Amino acid sequence: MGRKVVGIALALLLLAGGSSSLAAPAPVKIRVGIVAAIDQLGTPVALDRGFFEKWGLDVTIANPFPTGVDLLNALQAGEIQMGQVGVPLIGAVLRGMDLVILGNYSGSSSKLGGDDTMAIVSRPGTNIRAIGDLRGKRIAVSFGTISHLYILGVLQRARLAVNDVTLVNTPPGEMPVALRGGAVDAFATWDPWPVIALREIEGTYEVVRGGGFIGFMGFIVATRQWAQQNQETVERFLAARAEADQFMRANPVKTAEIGVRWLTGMRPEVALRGVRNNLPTLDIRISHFNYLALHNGMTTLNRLGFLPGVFDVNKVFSPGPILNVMRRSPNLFSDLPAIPRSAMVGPGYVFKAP
Amino acid sequence: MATAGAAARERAPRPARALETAAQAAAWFVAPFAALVLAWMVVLQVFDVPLRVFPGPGHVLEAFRQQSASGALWTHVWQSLRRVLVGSTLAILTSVPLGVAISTNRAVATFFAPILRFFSVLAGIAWIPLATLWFGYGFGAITFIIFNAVFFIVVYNTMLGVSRIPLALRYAARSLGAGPGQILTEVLLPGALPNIVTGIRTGMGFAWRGLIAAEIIATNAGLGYMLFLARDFYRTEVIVLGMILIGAIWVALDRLILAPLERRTVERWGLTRRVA
Repeated sequence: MGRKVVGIALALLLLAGGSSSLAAPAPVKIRVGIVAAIDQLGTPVALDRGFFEKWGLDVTIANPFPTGVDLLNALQAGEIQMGQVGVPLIGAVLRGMDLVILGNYSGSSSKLGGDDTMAIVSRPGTNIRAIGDLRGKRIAVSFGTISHLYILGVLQRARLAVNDVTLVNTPPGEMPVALRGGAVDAFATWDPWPVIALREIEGTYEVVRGGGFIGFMGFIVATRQWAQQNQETVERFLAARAEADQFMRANPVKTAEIGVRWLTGMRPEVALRGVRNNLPTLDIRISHFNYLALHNGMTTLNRLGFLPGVFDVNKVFSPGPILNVMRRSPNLFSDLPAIPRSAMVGPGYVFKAP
Repeated sequence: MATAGAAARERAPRPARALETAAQAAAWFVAPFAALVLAWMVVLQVFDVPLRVFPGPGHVLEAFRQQSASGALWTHVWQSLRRVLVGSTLAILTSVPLGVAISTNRAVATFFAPILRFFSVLAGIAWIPLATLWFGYGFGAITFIIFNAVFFIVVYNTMLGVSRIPLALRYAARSLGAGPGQILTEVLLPGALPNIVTGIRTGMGFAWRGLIAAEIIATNAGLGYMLFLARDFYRTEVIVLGMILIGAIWVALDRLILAPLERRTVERWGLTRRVA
């Protein structure tokens, strides 16, 4: 009799345990893509620090993609559900890929700028001390990328025409080599290449760092269909990413340590300097400035002949999820500069091109 | 019926027969490409392939019209051709004398043979990182890549050509009083020419491939550059246009210049003769 009672009690206990584990919501599995760049570290940091887990997500990061185009191809193929991408998004949307922008991995919602991850680097003997000195110089940029938009913004601010300089198309990784070999007088690109050049080539210096010459474009994206079907997952992801951004703003050294593990071959001191340069651009929120940055970048690339057309930026921005996160967890954004009232977006917001 | 047709062909005057043969050859040449275009159109239609993934022939024609109207296309084509021309010419001018020297002088051969064997397997594009370091970005680096692609193949083929000349011929020339200069210009070079031309033809093929790879990295003009810039903006019609042009230019170069040159050289200097 006693044995029977114990057996029943054990069975009830097991049942209770089983039912409680069934009741607990299993973390939502999601696969995310990033490009191997220092301004993309928010997602690895969120994973490393357990923010995704905290927000009920089981995130796997695909091996960093070499370019944004590769990342978008993986997104289209369903290999990843969300990703971080910049300029390549424009070409993909123009060619019918139905993407939505859910937040920024790099940029600014409080001003038209957020280009602090970009720099122009020069070497001794070029007499380039300020952007006005670029006249007649050979400058390496990667055509059709944000570095191209950046140099055009710099030239415009310096009141120089494109013909006043010689732009040399160069992959970012080759720019320090081109500068050292004397093939160019300066280069304009994103970190870590400016930091690497400063460290590896004696006498090199930054002519300018950031400067607000362009509105930076670094977006967290998903396909429209997936985002609509997984709205809660999207909001959890954005909350975890916002928490990671806040952590990074407060802990650049720890962020650099995580960065070294994700960006193969990067030296710790390069990662730290790159992370520090990038801190002002960690602003996941969406505002009018992000719409304007995309609109301006796209029209410039179209004018230069890189893009076959333009589209209405309203169709790709989906600010609803990040606005919900901002409303529910304002503490995640408390250390960021306030978005000017005139630039705030809300339900029913429609961007009007200037 | 077939016999009657053959008889009619035999009766036809010679120019007409030549025209008929040329037309037949052209038809056989064009037919596979026409089939390919047809298959291309059918596959796109059946599988409803979006432009982002692969363009239709109409899109490619439109890209051709736009790019040629703006002049950008011809700039890319000219830049690519110029690099191939300069790189290959430099390679031929240096590789043929070296090939002859190696195959006629035992000391030179002993010294250079292992080095040549070693470098001949290094693809031209393997030199790109060093080429950009040495020559900077643009013409110098790419020309060096092309030079590399052509140089070793032509040296090897020159050596092969000279070594195939029967020793008896050399001895005969010498016994008839020919000096070293005469032996070089009247025996060795003509005798090795069929192999040299074969080497040039093969080398130009490698040069063309190396050129496209180098242009992706080290320049801001050329067909390789055009192709990979288009990739960043999903302009598949420009990518396919670039691929078609690369193939078409190579086929034209090969069929109109290199193949006839090789054929005539073999007929004139080789061991074969056209049957009268």
